[in-house]
Amino acid sequence: MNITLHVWRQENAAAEGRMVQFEVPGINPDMSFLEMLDVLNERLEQDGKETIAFDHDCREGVCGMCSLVINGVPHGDQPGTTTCQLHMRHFKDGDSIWVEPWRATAFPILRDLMVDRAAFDRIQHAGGYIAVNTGAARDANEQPIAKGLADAAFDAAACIGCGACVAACPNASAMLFVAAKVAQYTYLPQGQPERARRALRMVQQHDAEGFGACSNHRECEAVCPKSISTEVIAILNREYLRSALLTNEGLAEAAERGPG
Amino acid sequence: MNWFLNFAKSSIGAKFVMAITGFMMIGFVVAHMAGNLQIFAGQEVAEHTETGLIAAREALNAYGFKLQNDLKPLVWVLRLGLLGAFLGHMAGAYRVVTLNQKARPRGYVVTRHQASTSMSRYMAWTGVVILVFVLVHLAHFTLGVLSHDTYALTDPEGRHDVYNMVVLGFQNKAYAGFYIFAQALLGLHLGHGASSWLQTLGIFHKKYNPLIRSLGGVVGTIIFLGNISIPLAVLLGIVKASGV
Repeated sequence: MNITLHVWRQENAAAEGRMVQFEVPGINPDMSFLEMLDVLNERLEQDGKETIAFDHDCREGVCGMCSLVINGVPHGDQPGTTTCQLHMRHFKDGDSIWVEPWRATAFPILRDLMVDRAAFDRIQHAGGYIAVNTGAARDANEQPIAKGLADAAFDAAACIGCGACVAACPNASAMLFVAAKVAQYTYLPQGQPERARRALRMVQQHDAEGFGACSNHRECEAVCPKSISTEVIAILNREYLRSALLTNEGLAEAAERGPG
Repeated sequence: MNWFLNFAKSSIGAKFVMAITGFMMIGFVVAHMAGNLQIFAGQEVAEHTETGLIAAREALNAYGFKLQNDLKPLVWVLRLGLLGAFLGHMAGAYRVVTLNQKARPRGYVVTRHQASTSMSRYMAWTGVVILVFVLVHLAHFTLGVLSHDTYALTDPEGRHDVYNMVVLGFQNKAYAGFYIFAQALLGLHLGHGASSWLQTLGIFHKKYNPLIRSLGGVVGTIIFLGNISIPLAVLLGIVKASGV
């Protein structure tokens, strides 16, 4: 199949970017979208031109490295699929495909289609953890957990941190990501000791990184490659309100920082 | 109260303020509409005579009189609460819109929405029009700045003639048209808001989600139809001036 690609090219974080058109003939429909880009890059290299920079790693839908807004939809319009598992057979011969990077202040573009998603790491560091004593690993089933709760926690924990929720959100909000990370611990007894501070600190970090606020557009759940439900955002809202309004969390920081 | 300011300025805190104040204003809008619909209650007792329509204004004027006299202290408490809700809702909206614009200053070349609606994406715009409408409405019917003559009318009992003020006000097609347009936008604003506020408060349950998600459409439609029925009835001549 023959494809016309329109790709966002940008030299570096400071440079002005633009859409550049590429003709990509002779594509095998069984290739993944990333393999199609590999083919294009090989041809560009042979012609002595700059290859297109894009993120990728496991190419089996679990690492969260691949990104790309394809024809206006993060990871393309196949539901529950990462870009690496999106195949060219979902496109038609002669199609024009528009490829852009995630766009958010908190995800600065490094080059072409690559963005810096370290903001997600910093949100995790702010509270997305539990305290576990070191030493020999404890028996996995020493603490019984109801099957329903374990399943709900696992559904939230399926988040691979790719950032498609941010890319799709009209507000560039990372609420689905933060919510998945908070919800997975909220369901489990292991998550209780840090429960009050977790929601507060992760949301504080989310805001400090420059992500937007949730308006319940629900674009995020529609594009999430792990199909995480906005139910987790309701859980995050409950956790945050409980944390901010009903616990002593946030008092000390407010005293330190002063008004504003 | 520094902790509360920090909370209210956070992305979720600002939304919480908007959800609570939005709910308060939905309560007001429903009560306000129920009160105003008494304009139709007068039509049943109205008598058509050679000199015109008599007694149609009785129900609405009696209601207006009660609010402005017997219930005056309560009305002022509610007005102050409503003003607080309005200011809180606008402050929250300003915060959320500012955060969101900073979060993505440069948009996509191609955007294809998967789940959001025009209602949810244009909340700020419909909100601004509703604000303008509220200011015009206050100047028009509450303060009488835009309608000196009809505002000063009194009925034979010496009460403020709310009925005729409204009927004569809506006989002006420009005002009636603007009211109908504003109510359409209010309906669309509630179409998202009257569902969304529950999610913001963390109310999400698979058993009740169908109810929660249809609430916006139901509330928005009822408010829209209920409120436009008054200017429409005047424009169509169903509700006529009474005793003047």
